[in-house]
Amino acid sequence: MPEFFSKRNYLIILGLIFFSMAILTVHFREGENGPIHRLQRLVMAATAPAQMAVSSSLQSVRDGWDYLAHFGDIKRENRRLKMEIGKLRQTVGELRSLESENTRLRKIVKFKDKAEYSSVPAHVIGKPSSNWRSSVVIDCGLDDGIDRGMPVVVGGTLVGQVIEVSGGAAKVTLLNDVQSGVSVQVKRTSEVGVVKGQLKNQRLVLQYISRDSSIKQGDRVVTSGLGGVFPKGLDVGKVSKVSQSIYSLHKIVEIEVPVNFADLEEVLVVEYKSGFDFSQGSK
Amino acid sequence: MLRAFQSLLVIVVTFIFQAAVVPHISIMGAKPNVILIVAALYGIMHGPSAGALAGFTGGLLCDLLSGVYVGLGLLSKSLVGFFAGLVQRAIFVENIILPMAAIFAATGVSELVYVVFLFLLGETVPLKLLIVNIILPTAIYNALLTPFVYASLRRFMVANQDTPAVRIAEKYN
Repeated sequence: MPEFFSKRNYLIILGLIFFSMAILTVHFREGENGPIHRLQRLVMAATAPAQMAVSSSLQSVRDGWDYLAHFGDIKRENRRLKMEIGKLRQTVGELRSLESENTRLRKIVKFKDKAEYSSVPAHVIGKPSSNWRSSVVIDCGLDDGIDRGMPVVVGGTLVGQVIEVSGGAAKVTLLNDVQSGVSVQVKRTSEVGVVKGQLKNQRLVLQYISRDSSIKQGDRVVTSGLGGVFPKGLDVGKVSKVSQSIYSLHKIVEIEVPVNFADLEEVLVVEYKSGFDFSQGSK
Repeated sequence: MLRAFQSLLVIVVTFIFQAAVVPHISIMGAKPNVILIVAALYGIMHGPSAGALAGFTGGLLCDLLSGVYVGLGLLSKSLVGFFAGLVQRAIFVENIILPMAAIFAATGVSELVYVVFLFLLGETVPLKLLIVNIILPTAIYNALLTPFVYASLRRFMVANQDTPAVRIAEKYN
């Protein structure tokens, strides 16, 4: 097909490549307040209502279906929960008296509160629209005190980090994104490595663990706190597989995460001020 | 001018669909790329420039929403739209299997272009994993969605624009 190799076509293709590389470069080099980053926040804020509308309407359909499908179970569970509430109320009463006693004793010994960071609950309103990214949009933003770089957890397990914030929404890159990298520590051996995502749902890869390491299946992995990007000690997952390539200086370690990244609905944003200066541009 | 506005409307609506609905219709983790389908179909129906422009606009919007690498999706989608336009005469026939096959191939090419640039930018994800978990399922899903997107787009074009391509589409309906 001679049309394929015309000069005009070559020019168009070269123009497209040049233009996209120019945008890519500007996006990489500009800071947080650059025009493309601002445009990204605008697009996120503009699509958030549509994402929220679809998410909430689908949630109602799912809830309705669950209700019909599990009516008997729900009734039984309801009876059981009522009994449990009674017991829990009793326990809460006991705990409150213990809490007040604890507060009084802490004041006496000037004990530093262990819970250093407060957290903001958020709903997931947007899921990744592309196969190449693993990120979600949550319904909290700058207005709720959310800031760029804050860690996001589910049930005490780290699931991601806030990377974009607008007034009422924020985008969270999940740990299984290929761009994600978290400095972690193996709790038993104290070795430090980097957990990377590979777009697998509940699997991450732990890199830079020495081939002499005694790391084994079942070892817990927590954030190391190095670099100040994440607070130290947040649960990441446990080692599910350890293997060794004869050509590599490092072990190949897979981490199993107790959270299903594809089904996140509610998350907690930890109000931790990162030591990393995000205003200096993209990493 | 009116046609350009209508085309922009199609791209924006497709983008909103991609952002809000597509995440909920993934099958085994694979999400269709409706923007890519529309860009390729624009190329097939209106020629290389329209295809490239549709891919460029849709790709840019998608990159702005989900991309860390703003510019990569734009490139792969506009190239697909452009090449789809170049082979428009070979593909534009009554048999829907051909556009489906074209979209299958276009998705594969587009995703491979994306992967090549990801590797150039230093991302290290096993290629086998990408092909098995992302590229192949997405290409199949896109191909299966093509008749529906094709029908909707053609209906919109027939109602709003009287292009020779649409007349051929109408003739084979």
